[in-house]
Formats: sequence, C-alpha cells, structure tokens
Amino acid sequence: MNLETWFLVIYFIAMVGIGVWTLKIGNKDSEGYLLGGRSLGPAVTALRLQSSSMSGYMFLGAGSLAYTKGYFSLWYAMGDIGGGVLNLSILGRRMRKLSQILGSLTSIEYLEHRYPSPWIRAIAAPVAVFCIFFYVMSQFIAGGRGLEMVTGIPYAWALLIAVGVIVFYTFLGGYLAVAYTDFVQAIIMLIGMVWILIGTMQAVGGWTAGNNAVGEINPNLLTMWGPDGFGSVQWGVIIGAVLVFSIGYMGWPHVNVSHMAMKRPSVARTASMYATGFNLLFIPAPYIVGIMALILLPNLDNPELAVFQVADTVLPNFAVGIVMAGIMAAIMSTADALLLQSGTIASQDLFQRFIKKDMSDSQSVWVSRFTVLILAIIGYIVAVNDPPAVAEVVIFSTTVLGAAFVPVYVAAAWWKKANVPGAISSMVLGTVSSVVWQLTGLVDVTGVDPMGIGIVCSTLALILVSLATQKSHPVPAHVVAALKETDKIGAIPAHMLTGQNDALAAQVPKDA
Amino acid sequence: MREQPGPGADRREEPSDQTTGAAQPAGVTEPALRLTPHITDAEALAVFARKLPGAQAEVRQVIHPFWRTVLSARTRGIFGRSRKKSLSSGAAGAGAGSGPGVGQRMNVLVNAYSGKGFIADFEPIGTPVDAAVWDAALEASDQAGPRPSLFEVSRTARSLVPTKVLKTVKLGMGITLDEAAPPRGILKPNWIVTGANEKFAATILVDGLDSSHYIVRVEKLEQD
Repeated sequence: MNLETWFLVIYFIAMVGIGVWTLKIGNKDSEGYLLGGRSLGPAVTALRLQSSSMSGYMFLGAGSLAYTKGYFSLWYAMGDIGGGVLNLSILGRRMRKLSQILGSLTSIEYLEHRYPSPWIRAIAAPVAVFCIFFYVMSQFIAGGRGLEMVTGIPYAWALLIAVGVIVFYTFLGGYLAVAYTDFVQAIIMLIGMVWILIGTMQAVGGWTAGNNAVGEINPNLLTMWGPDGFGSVQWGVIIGAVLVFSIGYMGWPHVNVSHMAMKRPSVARTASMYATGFNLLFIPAPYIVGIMALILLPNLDNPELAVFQVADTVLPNFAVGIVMAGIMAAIMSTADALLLQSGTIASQDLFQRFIKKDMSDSQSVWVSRFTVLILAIIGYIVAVNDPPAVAEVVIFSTTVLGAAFVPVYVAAAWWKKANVPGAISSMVLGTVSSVVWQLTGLVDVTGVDPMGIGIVCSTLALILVSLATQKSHPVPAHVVAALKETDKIGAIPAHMLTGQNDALAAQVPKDA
Repeated sequence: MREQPGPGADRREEPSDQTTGAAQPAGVTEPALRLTPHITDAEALAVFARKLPGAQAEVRQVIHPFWRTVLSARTRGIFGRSRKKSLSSGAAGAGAGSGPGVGQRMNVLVNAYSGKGFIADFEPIGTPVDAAVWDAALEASDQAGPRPSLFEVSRTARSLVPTKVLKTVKLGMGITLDEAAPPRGILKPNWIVTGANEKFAATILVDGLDSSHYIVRVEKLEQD
C-alpha cells in the first residue's frame, strides 16, 4: 500500500470514528438526529456550511476552468467567496430564530410552516429531493474515481468503499456526525489546498514570474475576459456564474439547514467571519493553481486533473496523500450533507407528512436512517454504471434548486407580505422557467444562464402574486407575530416557543 | 426559567424540619410573599390561542408555593484571597453586586413540593399574605408525597448557585456561599387557561413569570 493510500485509510477511520462518537453524544430524538439538537457553534456552523457547499468541484472543476480560461475563472471564485457570507448574513440569524419559533426541523418543513399550506411541501419536497439526488450521485462517482486513481483498486470497489464510509457515519450520527465530519473535512481541504498553492508558487518562482510566463502563452489569460479577449465575453454566463455561486446557495436546502442547527441566532454573525476567512484562504487557491498548471504541465490531457497533477509534481509524496484526503473530504462533505438532506426530505417531509402522520420520534429517526440507506443503494447502482453527462445534470440540478428556492427562503425571513400563493407560484415558475430555458436551447441562443432567468421569474412571481392575493390569502397572524419577533435581536420569549416547559408539571393545581 | 433538580431533591431522609404540615416551619420568620405576575391574562390567552388557533378560552390565576432563599456567592482567588471586584450581576440576578466582601446575591426559588429549584433573574416583588393563604396554596397542589425540608431547600439552592457562578469566573476558584436572608415562602402566579376550538379541547398552565407553558390535558372532540 502506498503512502497516499495510508493517508486515505487514516482519514476514513477518523470519519467513522466521528460518526461513532456523535452517536454517543447526540440526542436520539428527531431534533437531535436532524439538527444536532440545535447545538452548533460558529466555527462548526461556518465550516460545515462552506465544505458542504463546495464539492469535489473545487479540486477538479475549478482547476479545469482556470487551466482552460485563465483569470476569467475568477468570476466563479468571486461568487463562491461571497456566497457563504451572503447566506449567513441574509438568512442565518433570521432563519435560525424563525425556524425555532415555528418549530421546524427540516428546511422544507420550515417553508411549510412559514407559508402554511400542504401544497408548499408537496411541491418543494419532490423538486428538492430530485435535484439533490442527482447531485449526491455525482459526488459518489467523483469519490469512487478519486479513490480508484489513488489506490488503483477497481472503480466498483472504490465506489463501494467511498459510499460505505459516507453512509456509515451519516446513518449513525445524523446531523451531528455530518456537521463534525464536515468541520474536520473543511480543515483538511484548507490545509491540502494551501499547501499545493505554496508549492506551486515556489515551483513557478513566485506570482509575478508565473503571470509573466502565462502571459507569454496567451496575454488574454491574464485578463478577466477569457482567452479570446473582451469581444468574446458572454455576460449572461458571467452573471449566471456569479449568481449560481453567490445567491444560489441560499436556495439549497442542504446548506440552509445549517442555519437551523446553530446554538443561538447570534452565532450567525461570528460564523460569517469564520466563513469569510475560510473562503479567502481556500477558494482562490485552486483557480490560481489551475492557471499556474499551464506553465508546470502545459500538455495536460485531462484539465480536471490539473490540481492533482500539480500536487503530484510540486509536493513530496506524503503531502500528496494529504491532498488526496482533501479531495475526498471535499467530495464526502458534500455527499453526506446531500444524503442526509434527501433522506430527511423523503422521510419527514413526504412519508411522515403525507403517509404516516402519527410516527413517534424514534420511528421517524429510523425512517430517516433507512431512507439514507435506500437512497445510497440506488445511488450506488446508478453511479457504478457511470452514466454519461452527469456533470451537466449536476450543474442543472443546482441551478433549478437556486431558481426555485432562493426567493421563497429570502422572503420567508424578510418580507411579511410573502404568502402561500406567492410562494407556490414562485417555486413553480422558477423550476419551470429554468428547465424550459435549458431544454429548449435558449441558453445557447441568448447566452443567458438559466439561473438568471429562473431567479428573475421566481422573484417576480413571488412579489406580484403575493401582492395581488393579500386580501384573499393574508399571512396568518401567528406567522406575522413570529416575523415581528424575528426582526428583534435577542432571545426568543418563552411564549413564542413551540415546546412546553416540563418543569411546570410540578406546579399544576388540583383543580386544573 | 426551567427548574433544575438539586441533589437533595429526591432524597428526603432528614425529617427534622420537614414541612409536612400546613403551617410554616421553624426558621421562617417573614410572612409569605405573593408575587405580582409578569404576564397578563391576555398574554396567557394569546399563548393558548397559538397552541389552539380559533379557540374560545377562559383564564384564571392560580398560585404555587415556593421557598425563596437568598445566597451571597463570593469567589476566592488561588491563594484564598477574596476577589475585590464583585461578580458580574447580569448573569444571575437583580440585587447582585454591591461592595467588596459582600459578593453576588442570588435569589433561588425551590418548589415547595418537588424540591426542584431555579435561580430567579429578578428580585421578588409582591404583597405579603396571611399564613392561611400559604396553607391553602400548599393544599391546592395535586403533587403527592413528602415535601422537601428546609435543609433540603437550602442544599438545593447551594448546589445551584455554584453552577451559575462557575460559568462566569475562571475554573479552579473557590466559592464561599453565605445565606443573605432567611428562607421565605413565595407564592408564584400562574395562569390556567381552558378552552376549545372545533377539533380539540385543552387545558394549559401558563407560567405567570415567563409565559412558558405546560399542556395539562388535551382531548380530541367528536366530529358530527
């Protein structure tokens, strides 16, 4: 077994260990399994949010984009850097407070409580679980391929090991396991990526020397306009890229659930500082490494392997092992969050809500666990056949998630007039418009990204329909009261909390 | 304002001054104090309406007996010297602080039935009542079994205060606890709200101080 494989084995054991540990420390009820008992501090919240937002794309796709487009790729980096901070700043504190007042355990349930209608969940849950499933499948494939590349074991077995480890700790520890493993994984990702960046800069003789060498290949690569210069800029694509990676995060249920699991609403402020620090250190690195790969490895067959090949060239063997663990960490941290979220939606938001309403807490946790298992098995069966065009489907799925959910999540916390018809029309129109835009080929004709169209349509629908139906469908009084309380800074008053105070049982009078 | 069990809550082996009778035990000199509710009846009804939307409900005030003890907590430095600077008063209550050597005053309320206590983040304000009112309150509870003795009340209070103080000072510091005032009966106000909508009938107890609630009973109504 080579050194890289040893690092991966140690990494896998550590992840499984965290899963077992969280099983011991976590609560066994639904709130414990699904939200970690709302107990997470700022560092875990921020790094969990960032690592689950950034999939293996950061090690594979980002390097590839930079290798082929030069500094144009930093448009994507800009969106990414701002995304986590925007999400925490706009939604963090408010979503945490409102979800507790409304007694919501999942990010889809939160939407139904804010917009009280079963149709909200009936529409949101299938859209979310469908999109998330494709996303998680792609992470399985990336995990399997990564493991195959390092260890040399056949893809089917590599995939089984990668999926097995993820399912094991997600199944056992639920949200707490996912959060703590994501936290550790974010640190591993950061160490791995910064190490590659330093090694790369040393190898090319510093940033200035590197840029000079890249400029000799093609001066346009040093500009933000792409290899073909300013005249060929597709502004629609740039706007779409910035949108997908900045505000798009606010529509991803598996990312937003981290707001609901914070220890206190005020955690959001500190978490956004951690997220900013992490993003500034981590995100530009793979893009810069990808650009510098043009000098170090000018004839690369597969640009997706740019970061890994550069690491292999500039770092010692043991460091390559840490980098590989970083790549696996990026993939697994997204996959586990997606898997838990799709399991949660399927069990809580579909099964419990519409099929078996009287489930106990413990039954609910077990249904979530088995849903995770079943989805993982289906994901494995599909992924082991390595279906074509997965990358395109993934980008499309995340685009649909953003278009369908960004306006409803933002308005849920900020706009007291957002009502049920507005939310339904926003989700439907956001989904349909982005799907139609993509399938009819309008993206190529107009150069406008489906995310941009989807967001515009869903936002307009939410505003116009909500205003038009204020009289027929007013926002319920308890929701307005909850929103007013959410406006305030400070602890939630006891009378706004959904749960009861069991200590009062000892104060019940005889004649009650 | 969640009550926390003290170590003496379930052990009632010291019968010396056990408050099994209705009268106030020895050592209690001041008359019981009936607290003024912080929550109005309208707010209690609003809590009920939130649990059972569209319900018609009625509300009445009830009282529950507690023992109040006041402890002064003073920390000691590593060489046994008292800290000159008084502890932060925000964490544990009004009446805190004051000069060097006095320490932080903490009001602890211990349930006169269950023996569980909590640190009150307010100075109890209310009106003194006759012994008969205190006796009636003791009889009104549906809690069975022996009541905690004053010794147990004191032990519960003394175990609660350090946990609160240790959150605000460095670990490893010693804590000296002094009784700053003798035990006194406190009648804590609560609201009983009963009502029904077209589907359910329910009774809930709303805390008169912080408006948290406890569902006493809920029944599903037969649909015609």
